[in-house]
Amino acid sequence: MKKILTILLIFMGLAAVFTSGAAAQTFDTSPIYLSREAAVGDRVNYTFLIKNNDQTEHNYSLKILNLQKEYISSLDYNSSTEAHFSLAARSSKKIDLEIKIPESSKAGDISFQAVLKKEEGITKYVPLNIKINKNYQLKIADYPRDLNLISGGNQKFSVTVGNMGSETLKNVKLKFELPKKWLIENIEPKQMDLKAGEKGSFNVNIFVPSSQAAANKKASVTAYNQHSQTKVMIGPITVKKSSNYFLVILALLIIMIIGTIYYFRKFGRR
Amino acid sequence: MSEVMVIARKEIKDSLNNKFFLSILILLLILTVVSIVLGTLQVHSQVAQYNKSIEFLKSMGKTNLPPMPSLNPLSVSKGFVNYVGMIGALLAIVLGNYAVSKERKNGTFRLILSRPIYRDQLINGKLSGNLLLLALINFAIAAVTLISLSTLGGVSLSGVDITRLTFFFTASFLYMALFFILSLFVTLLLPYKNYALLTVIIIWLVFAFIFPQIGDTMDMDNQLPGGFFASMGMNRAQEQQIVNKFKVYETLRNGIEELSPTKHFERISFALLGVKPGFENNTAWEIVKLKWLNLAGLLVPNILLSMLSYLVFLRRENIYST
Repeated sequence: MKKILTILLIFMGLAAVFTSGAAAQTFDTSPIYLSREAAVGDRVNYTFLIKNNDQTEHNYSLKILNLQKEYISSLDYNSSTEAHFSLAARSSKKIDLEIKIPESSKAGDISFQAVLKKEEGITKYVPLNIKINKNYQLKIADYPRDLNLISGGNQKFSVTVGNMGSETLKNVKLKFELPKKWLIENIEPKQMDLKAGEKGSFNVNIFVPSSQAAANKKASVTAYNQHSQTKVMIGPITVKKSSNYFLVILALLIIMIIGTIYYFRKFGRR
Repeated sequence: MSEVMVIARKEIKDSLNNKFFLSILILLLILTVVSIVLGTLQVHSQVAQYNKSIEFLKSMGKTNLPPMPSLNPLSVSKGFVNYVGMIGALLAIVLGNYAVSKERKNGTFRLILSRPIYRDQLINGKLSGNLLLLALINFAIAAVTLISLSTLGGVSLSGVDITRLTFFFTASFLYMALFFILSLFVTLLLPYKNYALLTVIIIWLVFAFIFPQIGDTMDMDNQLPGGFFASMGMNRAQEQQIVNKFKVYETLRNGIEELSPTKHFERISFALLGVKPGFENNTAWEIVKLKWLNLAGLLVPNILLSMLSYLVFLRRENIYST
C-alpha cells in the first residue's frame, strides 16, 4: 500500500512538473490547418498565437527551422528567421509569418517547423507543410512599365501572359482595375489557351475620359482562368491634357495681341 | 516709365488708405495665420509622436526601427487655398473696382490725363501698383508659413518643398490678379461704380462657385454616398457600359468645369501641396509641366483681360462720369 502511494505521488509530482510547463504557455497557429497548398509566386500567411498563462513575465523566441531564408518575407514584420519578445503575466501575442514561394521553387512538399523557446529552455514545435503546385502556373511576362496617356483619348498597349506550369491553361482572360470612368474599349483576343511553356499577347485599347485631370494614376491587370490567376500593377501611368487645348489658347492669344496692336495703330496712342 | 512708377506708388498708397480693403486684408491674414499655425502644430504633434514611438522601441531593444512617415508639411497651406478662393478673390475685386472708381469720384481722371501721360501708361501704373501689392500679400503669407513650420512645427523644408511652395504662392498670386484685372476691366467698361462692382461679383460667383458646382452635380458618381454605380448595385462591367454611352456628356461637364479659374487654382494647388495623392514623387517643375493647362487657365485670362482693359480705356470718352 505504501509502495503504491509512493509511486502515485511520484507520478503526480512528475505530471505536475510536465503539465505546469504545458499550462504555462499556449502556442497555436491560425488558421488551424498546418498543411497548405500554394503556387509559385503565391504568399502564404501564418499567425502564431502565444499566451503566457504564468504568474510572471517570460522571454521567448520564435524561430522558423528547415526553411530557406529566401522563402521568408517577414516574421513579426522583420525580414529575419527569428523573433524575440517578452510576454507579461497572463498576456498573449500574435506573430505573423509571411512566406513567399520563389519562382525557382520546384513542385512538391516543403516541410518546416515553427519553434517556440522559453527562457528556461522549454521548447514547443509546430510542424508545418506547404505543397507547391506547379501544374497550373500563370504569369504576366510583359506589361507596360511606363504609360503616358492623353485625357479624352485612346491608347493601345499589349500584355503578354505565359504558362509556367505543366498543364495547359484554357480560357485565359484579362481583367483590369482602373481609375473611375476609365474604359477598356477592346481586348484582342478576348481569351486564349496556353500550352505548358507557351506565351501569348493580348492587345488592349484603353480610353481615358476627357474629365480626367492631368495626374499620376495607378492601375492593375489580372490574368486569370479557372485554375490560376496573377496580378501586377501597371505603370507608372501619367495622364496629360491634350495639346489641342494649347493650340486653342495660343490662337486666342495671337488674335488678341494682333487685335490690340491693330487697334492702337488705327486709333493711335492716346 | 517714371510716370508708370509714380502712378504705381500712388495706387499702393491709396489702397493702404482704403478702410474697406484693409478690413478684408486683415480678415484674410488672420484666417490664414490661424490656419497655418494650427496646421503647423499638428505637424509638430505628429513629429513628437513618432519620436516618442522610436524611443519606446529603442528601450525595448528593437533595432529595426520604422522610418519616419511622410508628414507632408506643405499641407498646412491647404486652408489658404479656400481662403484665397473666397476672401482673396473678394479683396482683389475691391482693389480693382477702387482703382478706377476713386479717380472718377474725385475727378482725378481729368487731372491726370491732362498731363503728358498716355492712357495705356495710366493702366500700366494701376496694374503695376496693385499687382505688386497682391504679390507682397502672398509673399508675406509665404514667409509666415515658412517661419511657422520651422519654429512651431520643428520641420525643416527641403529645396523641393520650398520650390513647390513658391509655385503655389505664384498660382495664388495669379488667381488674385485675375479677379483684380477683371474688376478693373468691368469698372472701366461700365460707367457706374455700383453696377460695376455688382457685375464683377456676379461673374465671380458664376465662375468660382456655380460652374464648379454644375460640374460636380453633373457627375453621376457624386450624387450618392459610395458612388452612383455602387449604390445601384452595378458591377464594374455594367458601369463601364453606361459610361461608354455618356462620353459627350462627360466632355460637356468637363468643359463647364474648365471654365472656372477656381477649379484650375484648386487643381494645381492641391498637386503642389501634396494634398492630392499621386504627386509625391514629382518635382515642382514636373507638376507644373503636368498641370500646364491649370496654369494657363490662370495666366491667359490675365493677359486677355489686360488687353481688353487697354482697348476699352483707349477709346472711351465718358471715363470721367460717376
